[in-house]
This record gives sequence, structure tokens and C-alpha cells, in this order.
Amino acid sequence: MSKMFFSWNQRSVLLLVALVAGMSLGCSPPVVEFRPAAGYKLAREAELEVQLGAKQEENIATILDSLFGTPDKPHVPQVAEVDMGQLMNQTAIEMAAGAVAVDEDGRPHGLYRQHCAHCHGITGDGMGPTAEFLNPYPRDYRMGKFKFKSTTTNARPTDDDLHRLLKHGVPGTAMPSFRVLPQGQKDSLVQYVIYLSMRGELERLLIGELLGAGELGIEGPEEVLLTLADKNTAEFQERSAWVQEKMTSIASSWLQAQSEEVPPPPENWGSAESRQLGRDLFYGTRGGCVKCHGNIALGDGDNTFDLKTPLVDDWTKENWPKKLGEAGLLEREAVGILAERPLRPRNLRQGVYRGGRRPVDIYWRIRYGISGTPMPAAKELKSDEIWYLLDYVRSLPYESISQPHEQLRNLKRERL
Amino acid sequence: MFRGKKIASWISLLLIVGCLPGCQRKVVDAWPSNSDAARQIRDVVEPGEGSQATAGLAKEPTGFATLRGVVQFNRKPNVPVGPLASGNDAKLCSPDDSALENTFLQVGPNNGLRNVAIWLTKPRRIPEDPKWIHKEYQATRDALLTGKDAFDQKKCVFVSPMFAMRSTQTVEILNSDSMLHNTKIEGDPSGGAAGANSGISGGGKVLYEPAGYSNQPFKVSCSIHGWMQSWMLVRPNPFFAVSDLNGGFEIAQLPAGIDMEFRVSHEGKFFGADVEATVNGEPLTIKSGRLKLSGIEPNDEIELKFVLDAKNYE
Repeated sequence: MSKMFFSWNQRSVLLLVALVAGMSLGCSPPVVEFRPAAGYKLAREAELEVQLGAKQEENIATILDSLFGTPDKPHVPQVAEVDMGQLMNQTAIEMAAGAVAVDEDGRPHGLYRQHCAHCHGITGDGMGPTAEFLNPYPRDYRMGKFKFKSTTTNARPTDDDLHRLLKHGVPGTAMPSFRVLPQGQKDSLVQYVIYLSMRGELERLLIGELLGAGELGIEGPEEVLLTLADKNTAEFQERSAWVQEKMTSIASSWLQAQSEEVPPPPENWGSAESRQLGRDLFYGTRGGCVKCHGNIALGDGDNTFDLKTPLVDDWTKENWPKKLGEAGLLEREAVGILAERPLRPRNLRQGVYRGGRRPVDIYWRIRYGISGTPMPAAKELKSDEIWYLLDYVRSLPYESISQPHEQLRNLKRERL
Repeated sequence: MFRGKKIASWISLLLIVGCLPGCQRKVVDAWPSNSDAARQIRDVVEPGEGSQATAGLAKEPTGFATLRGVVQFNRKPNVPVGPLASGNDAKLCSPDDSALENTFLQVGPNNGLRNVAIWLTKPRRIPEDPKWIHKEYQATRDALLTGKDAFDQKKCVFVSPMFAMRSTQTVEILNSDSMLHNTKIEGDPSGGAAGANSGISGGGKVLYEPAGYSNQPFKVSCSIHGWMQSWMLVRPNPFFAVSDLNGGFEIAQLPAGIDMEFRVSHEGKFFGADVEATVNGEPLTIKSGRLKLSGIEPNDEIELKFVLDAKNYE
């Protein structure tokens, strides 16, 4: 008996605890719901000095439910003046949504929960269970902003941009490549990301409107946007029309996303002269890259050490506004907002480019900037200049200063 | 030996109990949704046979009137006007050593407040019709705002701390400094005013085409010089104004004979109940920056006055 790890009494206690644990978890799957944009709500409430009422929160959830359905039963919204079929279809959305399963015909379901939700969250808020352990944080789709794309600064990404991210992942981050997924499954995931993004964009507009910041003139936390009891009033019709207008505007912005044409590089591109011209732009006032990327391009420019106004992206700026008091901190902690992190400009000597290492990828980064970050679009530079600049940037990892191990080896050889 | 096992068993027990609450961080609860109402709202909001959604129509105007006003403090606010920045940046931005002063809270000799924006919010949709928009405004509808009308930055401050334009217009974003600025325009998704983020070299310029409008002023900043901040308002009609150093503003050729609502804000904050407002000498209620005007006859000259309590700005 003395050799047994637990006595019978202890075993009984352990069994009891295991039973209680099992019962507390229950046998039914947990209810999966879309979570509200708590960070945006808190930011707007503080800015406008009003609070969103409980009825208004329910109204927002109901309107979103009406147009987009739930995580288990998604609905592709029908939008005036827009052929939604060009953006997404119900079958593909259902393949990505819901619990992980295979149907009678062998088709997979729940792809998003299987591959994406643990980082990007069920709602696409970038707050999945693993998010807080990742650096950078996973993308929150709900602003409609995506960093690595071929479109102008403010435009949505194209389908191809999202497919490229899915296929190659984001180097230097936790976003892996999903190259091995069949094309149909990748299509389904891309459509679902657009679906979640559109839902989030509308949610933000509804929150702003109900807080009285918008154009319908909502007054106070008791007033809701759409009440079925008022269905036949002119006000209800105007407000329904407003929701339609906003949906049309959101869907159109996705449909209009187009890659901008990239002119071919100049003839001397790839030469020492080209890199020197690029270097002049990097350090000069026309390019001005040195301001953030630093004197030796380690991503340690003067701006990165400005403690008063640290570089942050738009997501952080919204979640962690300046001069946040203790109450504000506690409010954010209570709703699980991820901790504030300053942004670091890319260390260009590592040769790791998050948006891709092809010349055209870097061309897009310089020409259109990186949406949602301080990285600006180089609108003033001519296309040849951008080619020179990217030539210099791509040469940085191969300079001897970027490869200290190689330098050490050379030193040893010289000594010998 | 036995004692050690006993301790291990109790640690195991504690571990099991500890795992019960889990280690997941706090998350926000979902907002409750009314699924029955959601189904019915879908029938109304989505286009189709059952859809009833149509934009509301307003009454037709009967002529044009003028709205004038002034924004003043009840006394001169005691606000320290110190330099916005110091160190190397400040020296570069202001080589003649003049301080980079806060340009936003600009109070005139009569205690008037500059940079207050006022704009028409209702009727929401103003038709492109001469009955609504006076022909005087037609000439500038698609104008390129350049020269003194452009949006400029000089000595590392924005020349126009509150800039207003029409959504159909295009504006030149100038950089009158010798160094690079990175002009980040937030935009307003609620009305479709586009965001932008452009590096502009010394003496350079880029164009900003808003494409949509904004429902309230949005921020413009420079990512390189963190203290630089300004506001921009983009409206789908010409009925807006920004107060001058005497606090004065004017909106001419305003459609008369219709019910109107305006909004007023300063530095992103809407005027609230603490602001004393009068229209032609009569008290007027302001809530969340909204003020309603009705009964305006053609050729009327409406006088608005806002009196701000200086202590709220100190």
C-alpha cells in the first residue's frame, strides 16, 4: 500500500475533483458568438463624452445579426447596387464558418476556426487565445485596413493580395503559409476574411452613429437606430436607407480594390549607380527613410526613441489613446484589450520583408506606404526613383556590416 | 519518501483545482441580439421585394438666407502658451529660434476663438439643385484648393489648425518647410472621406482628394514630428464655416424655409450644454454640438452667438 502514489482516500478526492471539473465544463459545445468592438467603443465614448446604452448595444448586435448572421450560421448580406457574388458566396462562407466538421459529402466546414481563429479570433478582432503571446499581434480585420497589399494607401486589398498572404504567410511574424490547403479552401478563407472585415466596418459605423457622432442625429443612450415598432415611419425608412448606403459603400470599397500598375525598372536598375541613387534618396529629404529606419537602417531612427509620441499603428492608437487615466486602463483590461506595444520600423539589414521580398512587393511598400502605420506613401517620388530606392534597400542585407559573422571569419583568416 | 509522495499528491490536487478556472484572459461579453427582430430587419434593410428603405425627402427651400455668428470666451482664458517641442527637431523646424507655439487655442483681442467649425447636418442630403445650392457655390464645386487656400505646414506646425473643404474639391497639401513631413490624414469612414499618409519633401506638395465626406472633423498629423496636429472637415455641401481670430464666421446663401440642424465643434469636441448660445438674442439649446434652426425666411440674416466659459479651457 505504501508503494502506491495516492491512498484510496486521496484517489476518491481526486476522482471527485475530476468529476466536478468535467461537470463544470459540461458536455455541450460552448456558444460561439461575435464579440463587440470594445476598444473602438471605449475610444469613441471617451472622445464624445457619452456612453452607449444597453438598448443601443442590443440594437447594434441585432442589426449585425440581420445582415451577417452568426459565427455558426453566417449570412452573406445583400447590398443595394452591388453584386455581392463578386465578393463572396454563401457556400464558401459556410465552408469557412461554424464548427470544425466534415459534411456527408466530405466537404470540410469550420476552416476559419481550424486555421485562423486561435490568433485572429472568432470575430476577426485579432484577439484569439494565442494573440497576446505573439509579436506582432495578429491583424484585426474590423477597420478594413490591411498592411501588405498592392493597392493605394487607403484602399482595400485585392483578392490576390489576400491569397498571396495566405499562400506565403507573413515572414518574420507568426502568420504561417497555408500553401498546402486546396485552392477551394483558400478561396473560402479569403472570402470569410472579407466577410468579417465588412461586418466589423459596419459595426464601427453603427457604434459611431448611436453615440451621436454621425449624421442621423441620435440623441442619448436610450435612442436606438431601428425599432420595428416604427417600421412604417419616415424616420425608420430614412435610417434603413442609411444602413443600406453604408453597406453599399463598404462593399463597393472592396469591389473597387485594384492593383496599381507598376512601371518597369529603369535600364540601369541593379547596377552600382542605381544603388547609389537609391542610397541618396534613403538619406536625403526626398526619401527621408533615415528618419525612422535609422542611420544604418537598423530600424532605430530618431523617431523610434521619442517617448512622448512613440510610433504606434492605428490599432494601438485607438485602443490606447494618449492621457489614459487609471479608470481607462482598468476598462481596457476588463475587456481583454491586448497590451500596448510601440511600433518598430523594419530593420532593413535582416532581409526579412513582411509583405514579401520580390522587387514588386517592396515597390508597393514604398509607393503606397503601409496602411495603418506611420510608413507613408512616397507619392512625390518618380517610379524610377522608387526602383533605385528598393535596389538600395535590397542590397543592405548583403553589405558586410549586415553580416558580422562573415566579418569575424574574414578577420580570423587575415590573422592566420 | 512517503511524505514526499503525499506532498506530490496534494500538489497534483491543487493543480487540478487551479486548472478549473482556466488561464484564459478576460474577454468582453457578446452583446445580446434579438434574433426574431434580426430576421424582420433583414427583410426591410436588404434590397428586394420586401424592402421598404428609401431616403427621406425634405421640404423645398423658399429662397436663401445668411447665417452669421461669433464665438467668444466670457474672459481671456489663462492658458500657458509654451513651445510645442524642444531639442533638435525644434531647432530644425524653427531656425530663427522663434518658439513652436500651440496654434490651436487662438484667442483674439475680443476674446473670440479661432478654429471653431460649424456645419449643416440636416437635411442630410442636399440635392445638387440651384434651389438648394446657390449658383455662387457652383464655381468652386470642383475647385483645386491651392495657394492661400491650400493646406500647408510651416515651421513644423500646420498653418490651418482647422481646415474645411467640400468633398468634391481637391486640395494641395504643401510643405513650406525645408525638411520632410509625413502628413497623415485620418479620414472618416462614416462618410467615406479617404485617409492618406504621404511623405512630402521640403518645398514639395501632394494632392488630397477626399472622395467622400466626414460627419465631424478628423485628425491630421505628422508621423515624424509628433506634436504636429490639425483637424480637417470635409462636407458634401458648401454650408460650413470656420471661425476667424475674432471668433466670427458666416455661411452665406443658406437655403431658407426648411428645418435645419447644425453642429459646432472645436478641436474635435462638440459644444455642449455648458456653452451659452443665442440666436438673434434668443436663447438656444445645444446638445452634443447640435443646434436646430427653423422658421428661416428668405433674405433673413440670422445672428448666432456662443459664449464659452474660459475655465473649461484652462
